[in-house]
Amino acid sequence: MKALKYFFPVVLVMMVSTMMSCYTDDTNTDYLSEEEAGKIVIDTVGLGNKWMNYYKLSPGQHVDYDVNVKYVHPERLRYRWFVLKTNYNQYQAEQVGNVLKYPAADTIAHTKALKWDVDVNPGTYFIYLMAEDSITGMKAYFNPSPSYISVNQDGYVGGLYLLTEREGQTDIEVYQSPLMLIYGDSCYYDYYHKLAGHYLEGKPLWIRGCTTGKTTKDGYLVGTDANLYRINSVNMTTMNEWNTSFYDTPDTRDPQCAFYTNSCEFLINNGKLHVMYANKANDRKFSAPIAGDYEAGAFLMFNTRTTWRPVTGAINAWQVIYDKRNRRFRPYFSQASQISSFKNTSDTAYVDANNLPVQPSAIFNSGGNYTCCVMHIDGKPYLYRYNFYNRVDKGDLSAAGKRSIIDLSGCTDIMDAKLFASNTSGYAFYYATDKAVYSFSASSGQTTSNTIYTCEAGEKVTAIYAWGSAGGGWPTSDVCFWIGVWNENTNQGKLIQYEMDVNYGLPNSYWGPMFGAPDNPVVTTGWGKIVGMTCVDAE
Amino acid sequence: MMNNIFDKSYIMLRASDIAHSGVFQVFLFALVAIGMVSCKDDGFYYQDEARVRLVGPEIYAAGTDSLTFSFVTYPADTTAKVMNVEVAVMGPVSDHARTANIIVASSLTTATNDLYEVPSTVVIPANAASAYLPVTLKRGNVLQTKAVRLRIEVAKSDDFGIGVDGQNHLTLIWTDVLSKPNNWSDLEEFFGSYSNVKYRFMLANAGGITGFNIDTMTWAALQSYKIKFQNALDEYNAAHPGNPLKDENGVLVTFS
Repeated sequence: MKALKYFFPVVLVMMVSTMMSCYTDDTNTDYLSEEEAGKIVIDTVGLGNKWMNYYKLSPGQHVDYDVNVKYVHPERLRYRWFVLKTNYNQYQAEQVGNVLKYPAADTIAHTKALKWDVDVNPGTYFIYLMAEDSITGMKAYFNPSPSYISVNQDGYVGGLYLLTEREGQTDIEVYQSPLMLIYGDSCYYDYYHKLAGHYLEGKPLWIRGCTTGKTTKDGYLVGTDANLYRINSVNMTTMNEWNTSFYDTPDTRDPQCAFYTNSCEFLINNGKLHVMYANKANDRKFSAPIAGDYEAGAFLMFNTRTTWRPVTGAINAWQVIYDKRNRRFRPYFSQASQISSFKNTSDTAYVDANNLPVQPSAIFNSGGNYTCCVMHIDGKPYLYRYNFYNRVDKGDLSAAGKRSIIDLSGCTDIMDAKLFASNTSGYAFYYATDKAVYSFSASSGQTTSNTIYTCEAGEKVTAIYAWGSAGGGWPTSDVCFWIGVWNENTNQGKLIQYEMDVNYGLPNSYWGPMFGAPDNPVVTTGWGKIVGMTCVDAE
Repeated sequence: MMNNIFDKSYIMLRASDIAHSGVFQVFLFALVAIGMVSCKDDGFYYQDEARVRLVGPEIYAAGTDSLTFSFVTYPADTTAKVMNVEVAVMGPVSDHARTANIIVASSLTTATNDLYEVPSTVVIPANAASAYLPVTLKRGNVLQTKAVRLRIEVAKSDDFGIGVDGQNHLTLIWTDVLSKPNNWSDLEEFFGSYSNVKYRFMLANAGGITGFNIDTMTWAALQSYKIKFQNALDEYNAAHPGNPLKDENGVLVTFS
């Protein structure tokens, strides 16, 4: 009995404790179901700007960008657009005193739709939109750019650079296309003339990307019939002219073509190859003419070698030229003082790189980095294809077996073609007469050409350009094709843009609609007479 | 107690005594008179008999009584160099032409006669204060092993006496001797192994520069010289079919 006196209170306490543990305690937080709380969803469905088409921004440039935001309580949302300083694609901590700190975000707007005049320092940034429920604190983030955005130095304009003739002299104008993704959507008419206050001397010949002292292409080399200019892309400052472009200025000024590849800038002047090694200490001058018994034609290869898993024993030339005097292709190797030769051609080779049957009417690079020659043999047009890229020279440099020689008899007016263009991403090439532009696919088996554009009354085709010989990178970097047309009635240049299938050579609408770019063709007018085009970012 | 000459009051007292003395006033007057005389515009004119002096080309002689010249940096087809030695008149110009005599000081000359030409006279035109004496220095094989010298002197003539000692003669020293540059190991990347023939060929085709240096020339500049020499070598070899340029050891010269 005495034991029971202690037992019952213990049992009682246990029972009470058990009852209390069954009590549902929501603490002091109220949970909401997913239906009640909702979810912040940000997208750009149905809007023109699915991605931010401004990878490259200039200080002061205005950016308009809107998004869709779905949420059960939109009135409670507050917005914040901000940028994070990066090292290209890396958001890195920086040394501040004795500690490493991540750079603070820089808020650029508090509205849903971004209306921003770019006011951050040159560099690369990630850009984000944050939407936050001001009551619950729920947040959602949206990154409108698939990569970093790049803010250029003040005075820089990226895009397609047009070499034009105005008032009998040379001008540079810039076209930015949404299809190019990374520049914006503007036309910079009369660009050089407005910046410099004068035209470049002489009539325009060609324009190419060049070095301004770095190991990258960040300037423009312009050949005219009166001078040679090295122009910085920032503010279009002239850095060199003909007389300061060589260690030994050639007696004859005839700049035929130039191209920057393998950290070298190559120039052909008056049939001779000159070299500038951008990755070595230099004075921004071209070398003396590379020695040898040759007369170079106006051709330079885009890509001659690869560092990514190259074929063992591949040619590995730094450049390949066409020697008109000896009707043969000839390699130039790094730091050589003389032009070299390929091995003797074997009897089984389909095409002979050491002995072309006739002088080509056009030479260009195409898909597979093939070197293509259009030749008129016994009154018929042919395409001869050679391969000097990542290929072992065993005496046969034919590009594609039997298909190394293609009969072009089915190509409309190709015997009268004056302009040719191609890039190394696809096997189609383009050619133009005065009155029309055509394409031909060397890989599809077709035997006839496709008509891309036919001039209207008073029009004449003056230039064609296929973007993207630098190859990969941006998804549309190889599909843009531009036609420059001069209208004698209006005295204006017209630029026509197509998105193309790079292998079939046909207008295509694949990437453009995906990125909100206008569909084919995109026509702008008001330019000077377009003589040449280039875009250094995918040249 | 001795006077302290550094004592300020002592010095002032002594200066005052002097200022008021008659000796000082006379001294002051004399000083002013001398000063006034010295302000007279009295030019320095050579008053003696007419003489001439020899002045070598400034770029080579640099104001001294000798000059040194090397044919090394000149193309092989340069066989002579004319040095225009100024023969300057000491004294007033004359209204008629005058002749100065020049002689070769044989005892101080090591060059053989076939290595130079010196006119024995030079005519100073009327109303002129100087004329040039063209001394021709010739390039001979002997110069590839040693330097030679020629000493010319002014000799008395009917019109001129001999000039001042330091300028009455000029010694000309010339050579074609080549030596391997100390920095060739730096240059080997561009020009390959050294030989006298190669280096002479380089200098002869370098456009007048006297050497190559990786400290003062960029990589690209030296590379351009290499290409330039290759072009020159191609030209040379084409001009000498079957007899391409070989060095002193019989090895073909190359720049590849």
